[in-house]
Amino acid sequence: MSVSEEENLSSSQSQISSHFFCDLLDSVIVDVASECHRIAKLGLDANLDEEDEELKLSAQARARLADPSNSNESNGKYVVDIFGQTHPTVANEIFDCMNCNRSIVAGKFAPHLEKCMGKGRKARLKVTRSSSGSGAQNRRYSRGNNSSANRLANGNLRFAGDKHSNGSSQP
Amino acid sequence: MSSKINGQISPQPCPHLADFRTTSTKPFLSLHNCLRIKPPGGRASLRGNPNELPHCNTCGVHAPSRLYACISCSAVSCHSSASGAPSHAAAHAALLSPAHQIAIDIDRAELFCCACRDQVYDRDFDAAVVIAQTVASTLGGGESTVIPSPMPHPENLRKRRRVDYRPVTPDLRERALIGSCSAPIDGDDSFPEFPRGLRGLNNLGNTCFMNSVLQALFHTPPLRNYFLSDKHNRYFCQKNSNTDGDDSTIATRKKSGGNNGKTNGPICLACDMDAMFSAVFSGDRLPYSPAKFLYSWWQHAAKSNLASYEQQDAHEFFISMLDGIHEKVDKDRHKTHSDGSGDCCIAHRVFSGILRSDVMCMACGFTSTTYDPCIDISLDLEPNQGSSTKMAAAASSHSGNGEADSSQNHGISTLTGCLDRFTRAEKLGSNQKFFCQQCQVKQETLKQMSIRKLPLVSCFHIKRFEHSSTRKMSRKVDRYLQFPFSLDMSPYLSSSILRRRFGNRIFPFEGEEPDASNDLCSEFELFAVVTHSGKLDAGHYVTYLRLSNQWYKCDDSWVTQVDENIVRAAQGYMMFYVQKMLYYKATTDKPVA
Repeated sequence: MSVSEEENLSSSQSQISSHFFCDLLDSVIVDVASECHRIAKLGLDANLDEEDEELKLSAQARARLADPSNSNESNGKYVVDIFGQTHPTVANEIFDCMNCNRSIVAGKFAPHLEKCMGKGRKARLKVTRSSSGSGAQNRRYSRGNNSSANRLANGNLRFAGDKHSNGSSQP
Repeated sequence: MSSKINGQISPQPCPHLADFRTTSTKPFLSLHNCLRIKPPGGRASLRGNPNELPHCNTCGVHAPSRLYACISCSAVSCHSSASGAPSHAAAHAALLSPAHQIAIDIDRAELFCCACRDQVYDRDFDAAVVIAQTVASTLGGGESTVIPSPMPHPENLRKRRRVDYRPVTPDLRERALIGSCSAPIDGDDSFPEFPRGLRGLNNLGNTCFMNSVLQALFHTPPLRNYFLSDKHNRYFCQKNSNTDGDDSTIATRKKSGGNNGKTNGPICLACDMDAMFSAVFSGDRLPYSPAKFLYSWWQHAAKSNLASYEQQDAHEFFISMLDGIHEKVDKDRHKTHSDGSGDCCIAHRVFSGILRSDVMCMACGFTSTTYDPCIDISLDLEPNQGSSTKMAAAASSHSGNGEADSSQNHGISTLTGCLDRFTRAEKLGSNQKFFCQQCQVKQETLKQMSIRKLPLVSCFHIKRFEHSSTRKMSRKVDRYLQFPFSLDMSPYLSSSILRRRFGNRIFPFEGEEPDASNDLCSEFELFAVVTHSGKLDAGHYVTYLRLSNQWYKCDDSWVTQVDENIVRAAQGYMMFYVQKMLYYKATTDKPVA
């Protein structure tokens, strides 16, 4: 082939490929336009405004919280609750254990019950993780000793005979 | 102008389409014979013969994306307009008007009015497309019985209305009845300005996981109504099942008989719930110790042998105690939860919904559907920048104003984003091929979840705790998740998912009753948020409650009032939404009597 024939061939090839590309592009554009047109005409996109509003409120809330000039209402120590009461770190109500009938302080009821019902390995092993910061009024919960952490680490525990799935996306 | 059916407007036809409909008998009747459905997505296109290559009658061009078939005479014309001349499709319409003005976009099965130069919509046309799509996705193609019933006229649809709130005052007879058969709750309520039922719970020793869930349940409207209406009377229940006649139901302070307590009457978590409801709503504002409940629940959890009684995840506790309530009641009435109807017990009546799972063959489009009841929905919190496409669109439309928060919004995970992800069609890996009944071989599939039936109360659990088989890989995801105060669940319903899958056609998809009440059923209001703060192994649960449109923070024995912004910015772990119909907004201004 002569040079000019080759040139013609390649230019017509690029013309054809350009033509195909334009066809494909047209097709994609019309697809999207057609879908959006239908969605808009049938009113299927009605909730966008409300969603935007919620997002805006959430962003404002977080900004306000991050602002150090605002007093930190939610965390930290409480002075008094809405009923004007104060509460100690360890709940001091006293009642009887339903297992052994001894009088127990409320804040220590759960550990007592573990030993009382004979279930706790805690009863035999020393509790290794206790709450740090004795002044904290917030109760801390611990994941217990090694053996119980292993049990928990066995994955998402579901109760057998559980006839209801929790809808997780695992097939 | 146009009315809404199932959240969808049925647009009025343009005059040319209206003309066509009046003049032709049974339009679109044999349309489905020409519709080819492409698996697995159900995209419909028009072909006279399956293998034909459509082309414009006038100029012979083959580009299928711009070809239109006249519905009166099936002439195919192209719609590319070069150099300002009217396209061949427009020319055909003009030449043979008035009857030939409507055409079908053959590649998309959409109606196009050449006179209005706009896409138009017709219910019967869409119905024909959906029939073809349904046939393509069912076995043998002939089994489908989806013939649309005559479309109800919009005026008939508003049969079931929401009943407007009206305050009730007892008449004379009722007042006499109330006076003679009941007595006011003991004790003065010294805090009438705060709703009843607001009461702290003592931490009994690392039991905040339990306290936080209980607080949410005490204020779950249908559950609260059930117990406060004495639907499970603990005295009656214990009397029936107790052999030794002990009054074993009072949770605290009273000695529970002289025996060793192990056989204190059979365990009934519902009775213990009943006792707690009575205590919490009594008007006494000193913190309550849910000791008896803890005792009963531990025994139940130990029995199931699958979770340690030390289980300290709030969500696991939630599932476990609902199971406990179900178990006791179930034995009495021999009903199971398998149908998700919630007839078995109050726990399921309140929380149980039905999930639909569709598995679509990528090769032939055959769809296999299963239904499973579910008590809650666990959502993944993905580490990527999980903005939904709608969010991205909103962000880009705002960016022109130079608002600083638009870029902030762009990267935030949202509850609706998680739900979008939960209901999107996912291609299962090639190592997970399913056997397709139509192809008779294992094929790659597309799986999609949707909600067939919404529960009265939706609990969303965010999977923030990841455990793997090696202990070292346990971790907590602290990522912030935005959640709305009002949530519309309709985009996640099976009907909506199906509609989208079939191209958003005007058609009453599965589960939609031909009336307007569906709109209301899918609107939910947030009423409780359980949050977790701290680390995986040293953290704390707190519940925020929304009562009378005021937010309260329940941190074990401490109940305080908080601004809603605190809640919006909190790290949600479990979010509780109730159907708007059951959320007595009208009483928000009145103190609870």
